[in-house]
Amino acid sequence: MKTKEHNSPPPKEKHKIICFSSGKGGVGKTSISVNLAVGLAQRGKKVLLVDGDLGLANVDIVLGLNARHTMREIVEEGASPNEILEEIIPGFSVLPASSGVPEMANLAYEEQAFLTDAVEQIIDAFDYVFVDSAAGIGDSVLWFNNWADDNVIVLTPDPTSLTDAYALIKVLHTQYGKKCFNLIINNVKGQKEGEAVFLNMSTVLGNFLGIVPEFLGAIPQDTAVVQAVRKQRPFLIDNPDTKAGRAILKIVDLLF
Amino acid sequence: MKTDTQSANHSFSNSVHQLEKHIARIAAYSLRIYNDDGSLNGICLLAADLQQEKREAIEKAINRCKGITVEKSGSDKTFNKKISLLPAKKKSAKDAAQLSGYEYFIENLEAVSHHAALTRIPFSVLLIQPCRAMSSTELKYLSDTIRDNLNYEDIFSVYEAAKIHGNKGRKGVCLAVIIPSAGLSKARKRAEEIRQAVFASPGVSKKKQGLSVGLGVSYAGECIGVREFLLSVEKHLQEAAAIGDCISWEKGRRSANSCQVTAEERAQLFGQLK
Repeated sequence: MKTKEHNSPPPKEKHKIICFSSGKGGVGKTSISVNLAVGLAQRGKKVLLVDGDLGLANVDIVLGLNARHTMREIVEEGASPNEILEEIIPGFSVLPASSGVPEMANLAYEEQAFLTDAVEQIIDAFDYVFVDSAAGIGDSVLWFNNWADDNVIVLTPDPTSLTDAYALIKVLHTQYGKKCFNLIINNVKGQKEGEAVFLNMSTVLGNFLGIVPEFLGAIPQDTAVVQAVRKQRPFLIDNPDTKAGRAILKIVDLLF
Repeated sequence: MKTDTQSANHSFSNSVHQLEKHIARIAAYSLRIYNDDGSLNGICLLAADLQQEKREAIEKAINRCKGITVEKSGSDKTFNKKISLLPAKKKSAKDAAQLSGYEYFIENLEAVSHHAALTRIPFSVLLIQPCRAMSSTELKYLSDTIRDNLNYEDIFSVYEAAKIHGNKGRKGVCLAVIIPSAGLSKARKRAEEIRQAVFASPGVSKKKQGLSVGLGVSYAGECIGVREFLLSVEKHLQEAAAIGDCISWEKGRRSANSCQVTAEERAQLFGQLK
């Protein structure tokens, strides 16, 4: 029979698994999650970014990473996530996904569970785990959002983006019981537009779903972002003192 | 007031329950092991992707131990179907052996339903009835054919529908299959596979032997009770039986319960932007 001879270790802080989703594609999820990860790493935090777009990966492209190993190996070969992990800068590591692999985009429930379970084996080493999910409301998007502790929804002022973000929140709320959502409004003309879009979305969410979202911030239109994506370098590394860079750092303050 | 033994047992049960709860998201099965007196002895966790032969070896090893027993009833042939999904059934081995086919089915349905609520993974139920009356030999043959075509995680039971309390609409033997982790498309495919396997069996032709199948899918987000869910599947079985030799499922349920963004929601979303 076991006896307690040692003092129990202090309880570990809950992992911060944050899933970035949008509903609509191309609204800047990957760019935002990558730069937030860079910002937190620059402040001494350890961040793991999981590319949740399992069949059409983008994180490695935005980072200019030529990943030889991907999460496909975890699912298909039972590889350890440690074998796949790529360190971008000190404190910021990435689990890359594969691109052009339909079967990875349509994992069975058991495979998704297997994958998140494998990732959980290494998250002790990190302060934050970000998941950059795929666009849409597919199984993997819902699974990662359900797995995460916090849900960040990225949207732009476009009606299509608003509708898709709202639809995603509605699904996560109705089918998965999620109630807390954090919104980042990307590609706005100015802070006022960002706040107006948030207020509008917040009103509709409150009226129809009884949800009160949190405003994480608004990121203004900035050519530095476009250039950074083309250069495959996070703008927070090369051009932190830009409109978008400053907005990202404000959000880093909130997450820190 | 609890005695020390009671407290210890209670604590152990709690630990097992906690363990089951925490591994519910993992692709694993649990096998509760009971003492002969019905008290919980331990828990064995099996990875879902464990090879069949290894799994059978583990089951046999546990079964060889004296003084303990795993939950099982019926013949050894069906032993590997008795491993319950998380959480395991609460009945002791003795109780489980006394369960009727229907009770066994309901117990497993409750366990799978609980698992679905924890993992948000849907599951499906097939209720199968032959289109014409069958002799007991024919029925056993049909039952064995279906059993032989089940996947490892599927749970199969046979019960007399007419004996179910409150069931006035349907009579005869019902063959029930619980398919864990299956949404509508997967369950439809499995139902059709089972039907084809039955028709392809020697001695059974589709002309002679039609099968009516009622199919129900339980989505975790719907929070529907087991009995209520079962009633809906039985309704589909009745519909299938009325048509004859087909699979019936509720086609509109998912969309009726969907999260579709309504015109009113859209109007508000866009209204203030203009």
